[in-house]
Amino acid sequence: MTNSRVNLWRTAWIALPLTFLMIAFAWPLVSVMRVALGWDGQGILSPFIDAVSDPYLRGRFIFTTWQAALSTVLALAFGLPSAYVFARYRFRGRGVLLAAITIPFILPPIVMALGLLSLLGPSGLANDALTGLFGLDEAPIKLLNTFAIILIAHVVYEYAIVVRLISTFWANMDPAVQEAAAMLGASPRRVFFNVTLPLLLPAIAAAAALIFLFTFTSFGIILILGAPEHATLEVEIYTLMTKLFRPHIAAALALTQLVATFGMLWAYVKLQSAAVTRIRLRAQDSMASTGRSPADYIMRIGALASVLLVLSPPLALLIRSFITPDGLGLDGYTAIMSNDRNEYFYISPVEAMRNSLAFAFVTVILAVPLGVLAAYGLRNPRAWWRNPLDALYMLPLGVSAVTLGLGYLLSLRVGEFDVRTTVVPIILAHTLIAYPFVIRVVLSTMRAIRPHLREAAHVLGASPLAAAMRVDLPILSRAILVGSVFAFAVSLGEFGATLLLNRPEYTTMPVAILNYLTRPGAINLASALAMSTVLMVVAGAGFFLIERARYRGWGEF
Amino acid sequence: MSSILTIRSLTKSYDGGHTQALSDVSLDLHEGKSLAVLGPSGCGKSTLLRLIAGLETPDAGEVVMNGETLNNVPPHRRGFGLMHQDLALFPHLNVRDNIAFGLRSQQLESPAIEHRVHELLELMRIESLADRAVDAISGGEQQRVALARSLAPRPRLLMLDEPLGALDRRLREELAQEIRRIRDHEGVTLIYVTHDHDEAFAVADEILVLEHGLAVQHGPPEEVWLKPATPFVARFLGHENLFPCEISTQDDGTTEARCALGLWQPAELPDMPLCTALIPPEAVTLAASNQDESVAATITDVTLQGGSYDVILNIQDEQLRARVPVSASSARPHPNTPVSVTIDWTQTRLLNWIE
Repeated sequence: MTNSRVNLWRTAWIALPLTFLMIAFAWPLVSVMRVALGWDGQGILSPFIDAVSDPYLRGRFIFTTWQAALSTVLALAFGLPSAYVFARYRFRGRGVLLAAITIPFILPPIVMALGLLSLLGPSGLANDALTGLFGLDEAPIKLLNTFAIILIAHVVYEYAIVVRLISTFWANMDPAVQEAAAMLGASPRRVFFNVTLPLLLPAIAAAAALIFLFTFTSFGIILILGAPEHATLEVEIYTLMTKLFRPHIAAALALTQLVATFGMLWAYVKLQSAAVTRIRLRAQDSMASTGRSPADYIMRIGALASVLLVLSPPLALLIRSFITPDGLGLDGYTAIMSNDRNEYFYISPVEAMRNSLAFAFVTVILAVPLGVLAAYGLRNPRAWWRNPLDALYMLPLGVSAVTLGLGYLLSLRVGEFDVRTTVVPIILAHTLIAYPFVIRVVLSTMRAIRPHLREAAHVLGASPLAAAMRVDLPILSRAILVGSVFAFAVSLGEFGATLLLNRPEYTTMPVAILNYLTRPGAINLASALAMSTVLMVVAGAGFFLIERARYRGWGEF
Repeated sequence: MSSILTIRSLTKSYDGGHTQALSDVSLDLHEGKSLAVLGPSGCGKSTLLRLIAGLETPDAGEVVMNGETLNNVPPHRRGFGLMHQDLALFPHLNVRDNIAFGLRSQQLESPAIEHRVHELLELMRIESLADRAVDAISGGEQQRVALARSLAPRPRLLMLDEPLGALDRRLREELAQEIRRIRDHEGVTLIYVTHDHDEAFAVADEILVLEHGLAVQHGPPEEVWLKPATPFVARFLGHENLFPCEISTQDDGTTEARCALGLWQPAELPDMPLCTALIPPEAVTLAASNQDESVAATITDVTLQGGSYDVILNIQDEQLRARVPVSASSARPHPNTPVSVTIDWTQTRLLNWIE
């Protein structure tokens, strides 16, 4: 193969992802910015001035920040003891539990919202049990549409981040440093406060940044569990676009939110790498304890209780979906399996499921090759452009789904050629959100392939393409499978962007669930629960596949 | 002078008894003395340190300091210092705060802490690094900081675990010298763990050789060097010219030693008639032509090491190493050339064991 063809390849695996980013990411964001800053003829900064001078919108910003901060603090407080237990103790079932606590995190927010509804809602399991037990006339737990249930949902949702991120660092912390402190006369208490905690701080801060980022842009949970006064910026942008038709104000809010989320993403990346360099990582288990004192048992039982708590909403959803007014039954499942278009919906539930699957397949087909190509361009760790490029590829993770949807509505049109009402923006959104996951998964495996292997293939007469096909691809196949499952699951659960870009005929499962919930009647609730359960099972199965295929060398998140 | 540290029958196994890390090791250490624990990796020397430090609990045996049994005393109350193999500097503290850490544990007044930190910075010649981050200084400097940190609280016993392991040769020699100087300055009792016998000989008043968790030899460096107690110790120290040897008394009353390479009248007799002769490579000289008492040999391999050639000779299918100084006047010995070999039997040592 000649040099120019090699160069062509090299260019392709950077140019293709970059082109995609330009169309699906840069253009929409620039459009949002243009509208937000009033460069489309509105008068410079006029949307911002309008937004800031509106006390209601100022209140939304303050509430969004406040609920994110509070959720972050609560999630840390709830998760840190468990992180300690998972880091320092080895007990039977530890691996299974660690996988299990991740289930809430990988579920689409809308499924989590329905899980909490099934547990704590007016006709949830907890209220059913209490009314049955004490013969009450009305449900004693009145949490729906309160601030408390939003916080509970966020804590349950982000618990996995706290535990997995921090316990990984904690478990891998070089024990020699703590031993050195003990040898210098430091009591266990002083070792913890003067050595362990300062070393963990970057990891804790990184987890906090990530949780703040996620809860700041909370959408599905607020929409379903909250009251109107709990609207976050994300919900407000959606309302402004779909109900009030004020794209300029929406864009101003989106840009504000964007600055905040990019800031958090940047902080997360910085803190994460600070944590890695600060804590010299050691093989796990190097400081495992199998302690048997009463305190050890209390710690472990406490962690187990936390795990059960965060797993109870999905479990409640599963159980509640089989409960009908007349006892156990499959009413909801029968309803969503019917092909009828009832009076409220343009399409039938089966069609919604078909749409979801179709979008998910297309997302896999687009996101996986894009991700693999992008990872290929990043595989040389010494290239100067590697880190900036990697960061650029990851940027879509810092953009909220509704902002993305807004961006597509404000762009994706050149003169007469307008794709905004087709499936194109939905597919672009899903692919854009999914492909960073593919990059992460593939890249970590790719880095593990020693260049010698490829060189050996070259020396044995394989062309670069043949070497890629015969050496890299077989080794990467598992990573590609995992990346595909990720992309599939992300697309299936995507809610915010799809909802904003939705046309009735493209209704997906999450959108259908929301539609059911906004209608009165037991059968609509039953259908919503049944469809959420289906979504949960598919996402859970995908997660199970990922955990099975997962192997050493994969970073957390 | 009385012994300050006594170790009695320390025993430790891992993996529920599958790996015996240390078996029945006992020793006494006198105040101000330096003990080097020598052995290959996995011989149990780090385990011994960790048991003395209290970082591990022994299966049996005890650690006694000044007559007090320490088995139930946690590491932070033992008043010992330990310098880890990988230093374990606190990455979140600068040089000064690393050194001050142990002093703060003692809850000293801050002028006293400052004074002691300054003293150590001076002693280690790292005053200019005081406010630097520990990952912004060189490996040798980190070594000095770690040493200063373990010395600062004036430990009753300082333990160094392979302290020079990762450094290059020149820096190692420089730091070994430094450790001697500081040991003498502070008068600290020292246990020094290493796999490098040169390092051990450089710092120690006495040497403990461990093999598979067993103490196989304990004595002054000279004795260990001259009279390795087992074949393992001999080979570990790099002795290779080891030959089975037989002692017999002649009719005229003289005693004669005989090995495959010749016979001679030994000045000093071993305890038993069958023993091992250790011929130092320096005792072997090469000559081009036959002389009295010389043996015919063939050179099989020649390497230049340090200032002399390491020559491997074949004498009647026995392998013998010779050390020939490099000089401008003589040519490099060539493999496959016949030579005549003379052994200075007076330098040969007789060891009380046979393989």
